[in-house]
Amino acid sequence: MELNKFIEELFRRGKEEGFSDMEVYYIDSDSFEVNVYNQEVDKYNVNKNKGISLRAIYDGRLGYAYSEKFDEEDIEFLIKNAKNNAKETQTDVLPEFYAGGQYKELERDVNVDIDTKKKIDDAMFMERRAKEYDSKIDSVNYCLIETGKGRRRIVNTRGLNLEEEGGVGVAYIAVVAKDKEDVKSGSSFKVTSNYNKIDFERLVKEACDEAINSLGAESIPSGKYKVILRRDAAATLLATFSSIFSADSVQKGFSLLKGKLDTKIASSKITILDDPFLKDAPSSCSFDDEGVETYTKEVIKDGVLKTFLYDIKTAKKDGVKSTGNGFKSTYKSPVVVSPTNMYIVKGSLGYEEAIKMQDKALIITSLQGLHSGANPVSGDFSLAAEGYLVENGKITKPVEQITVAGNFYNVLNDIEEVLSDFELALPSGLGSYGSPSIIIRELNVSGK
Amino acid sequence: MIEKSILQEVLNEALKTGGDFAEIYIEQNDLNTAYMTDGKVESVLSGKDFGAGVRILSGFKCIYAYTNDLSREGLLKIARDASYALAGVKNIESRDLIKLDYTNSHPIAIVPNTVDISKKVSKVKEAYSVAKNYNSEIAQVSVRYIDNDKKVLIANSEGLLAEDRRIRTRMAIEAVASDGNENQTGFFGPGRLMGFEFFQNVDIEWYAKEAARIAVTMLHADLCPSGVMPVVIDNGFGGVIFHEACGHSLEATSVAKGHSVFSGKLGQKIASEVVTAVDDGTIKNAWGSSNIDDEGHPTQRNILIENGILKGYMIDMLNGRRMNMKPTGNSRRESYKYAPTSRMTNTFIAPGDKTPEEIIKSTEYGLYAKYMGGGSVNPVTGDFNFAVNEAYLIKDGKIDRPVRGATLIGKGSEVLLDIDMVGNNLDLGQGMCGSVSGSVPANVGQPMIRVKKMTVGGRK
Repeated sequence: MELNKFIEELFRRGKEEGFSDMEVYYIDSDSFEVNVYNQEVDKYNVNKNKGISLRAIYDGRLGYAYSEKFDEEDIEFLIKNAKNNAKETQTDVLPEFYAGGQYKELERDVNVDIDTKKKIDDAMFMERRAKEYDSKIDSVNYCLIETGKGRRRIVNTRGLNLEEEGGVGVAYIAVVAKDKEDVKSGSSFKVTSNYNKIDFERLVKEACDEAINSLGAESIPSGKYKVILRRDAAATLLATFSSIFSADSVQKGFSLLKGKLDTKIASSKITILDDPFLKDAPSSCSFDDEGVETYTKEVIKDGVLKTFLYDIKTAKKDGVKSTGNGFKSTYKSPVVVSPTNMYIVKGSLGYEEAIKMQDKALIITSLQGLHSGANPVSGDFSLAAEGYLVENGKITKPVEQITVAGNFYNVLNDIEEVLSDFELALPSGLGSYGSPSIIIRELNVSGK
Repeated sequence: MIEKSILQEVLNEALKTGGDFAEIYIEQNDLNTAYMTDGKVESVLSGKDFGAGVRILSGFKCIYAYTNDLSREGLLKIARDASYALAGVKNIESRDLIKLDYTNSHPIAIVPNTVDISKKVSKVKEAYSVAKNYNSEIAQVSVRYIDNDKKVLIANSEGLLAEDRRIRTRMAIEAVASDGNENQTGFFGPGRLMGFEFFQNVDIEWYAKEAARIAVTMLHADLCPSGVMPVVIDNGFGGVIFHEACGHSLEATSVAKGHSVFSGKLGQKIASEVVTAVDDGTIKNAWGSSNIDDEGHPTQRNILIENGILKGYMIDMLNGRRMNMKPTGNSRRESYKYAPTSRMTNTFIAPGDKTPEEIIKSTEYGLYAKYMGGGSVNPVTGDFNFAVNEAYLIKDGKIDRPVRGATLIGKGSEVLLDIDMVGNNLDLGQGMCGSVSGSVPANVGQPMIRVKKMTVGGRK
């Protein structure tokens, strides 16, 4: 059935069934992915996906249902299930849909309509360059280009009718370096809504350098080390603990930031933004998945906690206005609080300069096991890490087989310096995260 | 779900630019979830996934396309879109489809969609209140219920036509204990290839209590010391060590291109002689089981390692071509949105002859990891890491005080050789395993084992 007709009929039937309000969320997307291996196309994907979800208020309670089919019978499926599900939910705030607001236009160049041949050529180019880069590069285990375009639509019975298009381009390369028995991997990626901004040569260099420079890595003695957390590792740590800024976590006691608004919770060098208007970022958007307008906000300003992130429900609970942070990970999921583009604002000291200033420090280039070794509720983390040792202002050796442990709340206070090398990392969960490299006074390292 | 003649037509359309194999995968998945936290049933959701994926192989090349449009025209369109990736001419026709006959090894007693949502929600409420009422230190509990009923149809140009129906039910319980300043969590997530009879087979109350007990125990635990020491890992979910440290590196996905540390090592000793490891997709009604895999091959019991010697890999059709080896019934995918590839099903270390008491008693000093958390591995280097949810120190052959925040790291190839004791108490634990073909239900498992030395990352 045609979409507008489907929605119209769904709302008509829903009213008959006694729903007071209804809202549909619709996604229609196309994506393309190519992987090359040994200068041949290895994997080639072309996909089309659409789905619709209904959330509906029945007797003051909210029920959800979704479908990937758009037939007459699916209208009945959505209504019947949303109603049965609503009856089982419990709430202390009456659910409510948004009637609309003032929306700011996104400034961005969405440019992902790239000729398939060019995308294949670009992937071939990356693989070729990586193999030529150095004799220590043994193989390229992943080399891929992906592009996607999507349309997001939200319509409700309170008069809201919004539509926004988005696009994303991804380039990713992972290489293996070998020196006798020693094997190391390295990877690099770029995620952007403007494909023309991808610097393939640079990705190759980053991935190859990382693999080659890690050859000969060893563990280091256990102890306390000053740590330079490289920008990508810092972004993944921020992503892992970002839920502590969600009003939902705060209200449920899953965040230790309860009652800490307008107090100092971090080093004064730290400012963290949630910025839905970051240029070329795929998570940028002018409204959230409840149709509320988004805006740029300081979550932490000079170390002081300024706001939590809210969707409509959590805002109502705290008697404030939604900050435009209600998102769904897909049309299959309920609305949850999530950042858009959350990042630590950069400082002025350069990465290379900062290294020169250290007598002894550990650069951490990657953290692993974040989904299990980090606990957003307590802030504790103990994570496998890799990096380099810095002695007398110089990188002296690559490091592996260590863990770093600490507590995120303490780390926020222990940040001595925020560097100037900001970059947005791979999107994680619902939002995107970014950080410059940061210098942490001290972390516990477990090694040999 | 779709007429045979249409399937045949789609396969032939897919082959017209020179592919040597074509496959269509059709899926309908009915899903129900309920989530309760903070004393309230916060969301109840139902949904219907409905889609198809067409895969074309040409030598080692794999082309995949999917859509939600399951009309004849929609299916022909993706077959055509996919075929455009090849520039050749048709050289084979799809064979006549013959339906694969098999006996269902995983009977379902109560199909979830025949059970009222209110009954499911009341199970959630029961688990919630058991965990919440464990003691006054339990500050928060969240319980998630999920059931899904997935019907799949697979047809390929070699004439295979196979269908399967996989019904799974799972309950995940998380408890948070707090003293006002510190929070600690405990988690359990039992699941089965079962319908609503899951609740007659699994003692949810026990799991809810355990989740709460872990959180409270860890709230009163000291920080875990760091260093290299013997580690005793208990049975069940402890098997995540084998899953991460070794299992992923035995999947053809990483073996075929020679990227795995275990590539080319068949018949060689890769583990200590007390280690025998198995991947078995046939275990009755187990979380990671199914009748057939996602390319239509019946699942199997595959010996991976026998007394320390590498015996086999987990192989899908495409990687099997590169390796010149037969598929092993391990080809899996999260949904029609992914091309299938080799994945683990129910993977475990087989039981040995030691009792758990003997193992603890013979360990002078070390870490006892009672419950493991999740982990990850770099399949190229074999570097793995995982978190320990509940740990104790072992002193003088006895379990001493609890410690929190421990992480175990190592290299798969080394840890396998360092396992020096294997217990007799095999058990399985359920998880969702994420990899190139998405997130799939997988069982990990082992009896209690001892690793003679491992790097333990703690905060002290």
